[in-house]
Amino acid sequence: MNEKQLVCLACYEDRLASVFDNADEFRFYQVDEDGICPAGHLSLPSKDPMDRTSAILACGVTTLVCGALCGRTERQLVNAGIAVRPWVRGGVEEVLDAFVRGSIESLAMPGCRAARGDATWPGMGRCRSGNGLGRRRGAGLQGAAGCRAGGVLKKKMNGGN
Amino acid sequence: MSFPKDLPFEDVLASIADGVFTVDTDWNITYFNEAAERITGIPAEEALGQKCWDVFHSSLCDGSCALRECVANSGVISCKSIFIVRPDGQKVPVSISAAPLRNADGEIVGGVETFRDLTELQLMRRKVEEHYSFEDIVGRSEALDKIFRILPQVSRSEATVLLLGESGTGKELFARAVHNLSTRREGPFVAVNCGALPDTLLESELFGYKAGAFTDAKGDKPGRFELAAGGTIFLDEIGDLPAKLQVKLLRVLQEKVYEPLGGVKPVPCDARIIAATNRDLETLVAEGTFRQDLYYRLNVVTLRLPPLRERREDIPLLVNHFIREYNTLQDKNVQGVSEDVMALLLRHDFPGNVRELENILEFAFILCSNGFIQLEHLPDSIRPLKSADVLAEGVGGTLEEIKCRAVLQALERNEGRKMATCRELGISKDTLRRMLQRCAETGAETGAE
Repeated sequence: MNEKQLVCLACYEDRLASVFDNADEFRFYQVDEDGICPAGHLSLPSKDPMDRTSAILACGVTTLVCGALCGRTERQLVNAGIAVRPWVRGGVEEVLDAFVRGSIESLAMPGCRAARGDATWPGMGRCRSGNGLGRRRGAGLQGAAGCRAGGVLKKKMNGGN
Repeated sequence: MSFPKDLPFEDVLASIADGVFTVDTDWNITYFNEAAERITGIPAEEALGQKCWDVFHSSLCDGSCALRECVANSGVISCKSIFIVRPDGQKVPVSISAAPLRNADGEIVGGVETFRDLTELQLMRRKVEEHYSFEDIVGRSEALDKIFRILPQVSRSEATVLLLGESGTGKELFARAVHNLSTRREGPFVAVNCGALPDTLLESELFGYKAGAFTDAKGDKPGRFELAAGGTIFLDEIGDLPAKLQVKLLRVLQEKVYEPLGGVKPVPCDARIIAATNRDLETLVAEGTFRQDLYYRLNVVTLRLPPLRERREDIPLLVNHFIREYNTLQDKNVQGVSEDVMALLLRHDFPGNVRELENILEFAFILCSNGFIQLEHLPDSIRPLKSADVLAEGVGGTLEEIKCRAVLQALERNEGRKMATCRELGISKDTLRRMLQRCAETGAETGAE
């Protein structure tokens, strides 16, 4: 990976918020060929999804990882060029670890796991993470980040905090 | 009263229409009934053993959990209105009730939450109250998305908004959405159709009058501007506003004051103005029938609402929306439209836009009360497109028509989702857009024949 990526996790306390709209904090991480390291955070007093979308765009985020996300907000983010990986759950470190290893699908929320192939349950198509542009960019990110050992992440994380 | 021991407890819970789930003290789901599966869109086997917040995705799940509150306070919560987000990305309004669960020794061993889908109730309430919001505008097309992106910011400003669009594109719906997203949302929304009233009546309707202003004016009458104080006034068909009233409206926009008929002093105006027209105001200005200075005052933020033919990918979504609405309002059980009907709708030009589509489906609901709406349920007015009929039957046609048919059918299969359609057809988004444009052009030519 040559270019730096700014990944945003929509968090509640030390885990991903179950719903993007509920997140009380955005945590930012810079991802490059050296690994992933913290790049700041943003407290979110406003619950308005539009404010959140604006904040993500203003901060230069390239990838958003979050929990449940309504279709309209997701489309706005994707159309704005953000790679969106919604319907993910887990603690912050667990999510970052899975992200850097390219295995974030393993943290899919219940109801989203059977999304590939046999989408027989209502709504399965939607929660397949990373629609459109987001999916393509996310895939590229994963591939590159996956080349790096998880140890790089841990070292950077501990040092960064 | 205790529950009879010989009754099948699970069958009883499975039979009720409300969603029910239980959790243990670690917030892992231990029971998830069939209604819960249906409302959340998550199968029980995937929900069981998972943290409740990873399954329920409610507006309370991160920090305001109702179950946690019940367990902590040993209390009960009843009929709290919240929303959940389903895996298909839909926000679903629900009413929840929660209570702690105790074992035989009275110790809390978890909690139970029941929830009721309020979608239909909300739909009916909105229909009655016309309280539409941003979320009620159906569509995910690029043409609409451009408006969605700026609508919240526009709404929060105090700027005058000019909505331009053909008849039936939903100008009032957008105006209501702007009002409901604004800081004036608690205030009134007053709509006036400037083309529907004679000049003299329109003046008194808009600005009100004082006692003695004319022969029958026995007392003061507030105008729509006064009624809209603290809220928004929506001036529809502004292009039809007579010259005399254009001057008065200009004063409102410039000085925020107006004078009621027979009044002797100006009254301050505290209403945000949203104007709309399906006419070309620039042409009216050039012709001298609409004041240029008023046009510039109105033209602060202009939103051009796309006609339905420029956002055909939204047709399947709109069809589903209206079918759900009419099923609720008319207590029917129509499942959807047949493939033939959808193909026909996707090819139709809709000169009357969304309103025409709504009218077509309302007509179909008269003839069809369950199952799928078929071609014979549609009004004759939508049938003359011969080429469309050929396509609907799935036979023959030029190469261009066959391509169109493939694209439109794929779009229908994917419920209007363009990216999914692109993936299915193995084409880029640009190619899809070009093909849809060509389909529209072909359809227009056919219709003209």
